[in-house]
Amino acid sequence: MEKPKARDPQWREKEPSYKEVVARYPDLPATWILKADLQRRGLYYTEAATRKIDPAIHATNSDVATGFRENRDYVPEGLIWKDGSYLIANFDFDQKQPARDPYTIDVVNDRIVVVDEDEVLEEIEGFWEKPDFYDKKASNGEPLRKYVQARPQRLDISMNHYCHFWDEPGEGCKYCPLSPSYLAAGKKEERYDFRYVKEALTEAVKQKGRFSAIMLTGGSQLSGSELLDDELEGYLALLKIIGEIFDGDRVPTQLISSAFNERQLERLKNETKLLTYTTDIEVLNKEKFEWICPGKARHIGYDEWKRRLFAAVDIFGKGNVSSGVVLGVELAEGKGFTDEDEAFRAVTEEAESIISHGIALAANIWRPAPKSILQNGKAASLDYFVRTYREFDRLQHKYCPNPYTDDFRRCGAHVGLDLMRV
Amino acid sequence: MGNVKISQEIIDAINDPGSIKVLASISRTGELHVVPKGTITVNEEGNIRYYELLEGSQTNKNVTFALWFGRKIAINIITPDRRSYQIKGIPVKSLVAGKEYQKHYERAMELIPDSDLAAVYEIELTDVREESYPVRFAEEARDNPLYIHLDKLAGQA
Repeated sequence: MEKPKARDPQWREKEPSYKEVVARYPDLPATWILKADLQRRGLYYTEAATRKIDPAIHATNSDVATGFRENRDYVPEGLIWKDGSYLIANFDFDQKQPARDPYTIDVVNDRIVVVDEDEVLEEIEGFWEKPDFYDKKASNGEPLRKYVQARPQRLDISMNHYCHFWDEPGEGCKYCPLSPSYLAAGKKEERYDFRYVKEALTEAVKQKGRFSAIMLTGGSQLSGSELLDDELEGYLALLKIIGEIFDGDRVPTQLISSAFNERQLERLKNETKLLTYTTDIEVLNKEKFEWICPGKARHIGYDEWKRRLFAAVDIFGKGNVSSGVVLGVELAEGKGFTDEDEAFRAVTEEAESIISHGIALAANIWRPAPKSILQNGKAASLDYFVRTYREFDRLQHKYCPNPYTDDFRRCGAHVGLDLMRV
Repeated sequence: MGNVKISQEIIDAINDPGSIKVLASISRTGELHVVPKGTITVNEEGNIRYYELLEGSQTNKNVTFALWFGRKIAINIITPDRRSYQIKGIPVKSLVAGKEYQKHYERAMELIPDSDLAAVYEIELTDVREESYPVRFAEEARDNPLYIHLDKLAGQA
């Protein structure tokens, strides 16, 4: 595949460059800023870099269950940085007409490097390695990796591959490619049989030193006796399976789900060994949330979502609750902020109201994902992301929530949380 | 970056499990932190390798900080026969996952059963000097002959 070209050839003249942003924030590591920009602009593998991928060693294109993937070429799941952190690099970049030129992953002097405008900016330690269980099969003959996916230190279980906020036209979250990808692929199987999830987990944890956490997530299910009860029952069943595999009262687990109410949260706490709970408020502004996440707004609402987050802290404890944020989508064209300074003020003020309750914010970088409603949009400037992450970090050091299930080594998707390492 | 090579004598001193090894680092706010780290060794390339066994430790934070900004950390080795070496270096790599990491994970458990390896750091050397008192005292007499009390010299003529 040829390297894609930016839609706007003059884009570099319209915003601060990577090097200018590095110079502007000397208190932040340059390699970290580069990681953020890679997530913003995307990346492209040269043939030489692709030849460095060994399918006997590395994890490639294994997130078939989530349906997020846009790039079906032969690329690694992710990169490992020299500081041990990860870069999620496997899906949802615009490979046809990106807003900006992607970075190039190349090989120089036998080392894998990041290149931009013919300049080597950083050496990369390597690609994610696949776990031993990826080469094994479930009792039904299907590969175990179909049921559980692996990051370098985390096992991921995707319970529901479709999100029912998309049931009503126009109610899906505008940045999300999950359900559109599911529908475009003609998939029918929303859930896999949990028996095979158990087989995969049982096999995976035999590998010494490989995994330190399990994450469960999936599309929202609105059905049930009460809103979200069917989703709850699914997670309870999965968590009980996990509870059978591990000793102890609690297992290093993270559930990323819809915003459950107190009754539902109490059941999760009391009936399973779940340790941490995450529900993603996604957009740190009520008005923008209602535009970007209309289904969530109609069924639960911004204020109630936030209230349930706070209630979760009372149930799971301070440090055991976090919330995902799609940082930058508040600036999307349409009804988003039109000024980055205004967005910064609004978002950081709202962030403090959440972080001060002991809730870590796991913010990832919004880039328009193919098949999403906002696919033709343009991500914010690098300066915006760096400035906002820097303020989030100041707040998180002040209020000390623990972001560990979304940190640099368990998750790797939320580059801002890398700063909590020091 | 560092490229200082160390003698076999110092490599042996660092790799000796009987040596006491302490690591000094600085936090993001400039606070000093000095702790014993028995898992410091020299790797095949002549760099310092250290196993961090506590993910939440202040040293883990500080060494990452040094890695990010190319800053130095310092190590002191005290051998069983009371020789002392000070080594300074810059962390260049933190290994937390993969097959190579898993070998170190099992090696750490051989050294300390029930330990849980958090990271393997590689530190390139920038400065090495012996800090044993007889050696430093001789250097002081050579380099700073005025730094001595006269009673030490009286009667020597």
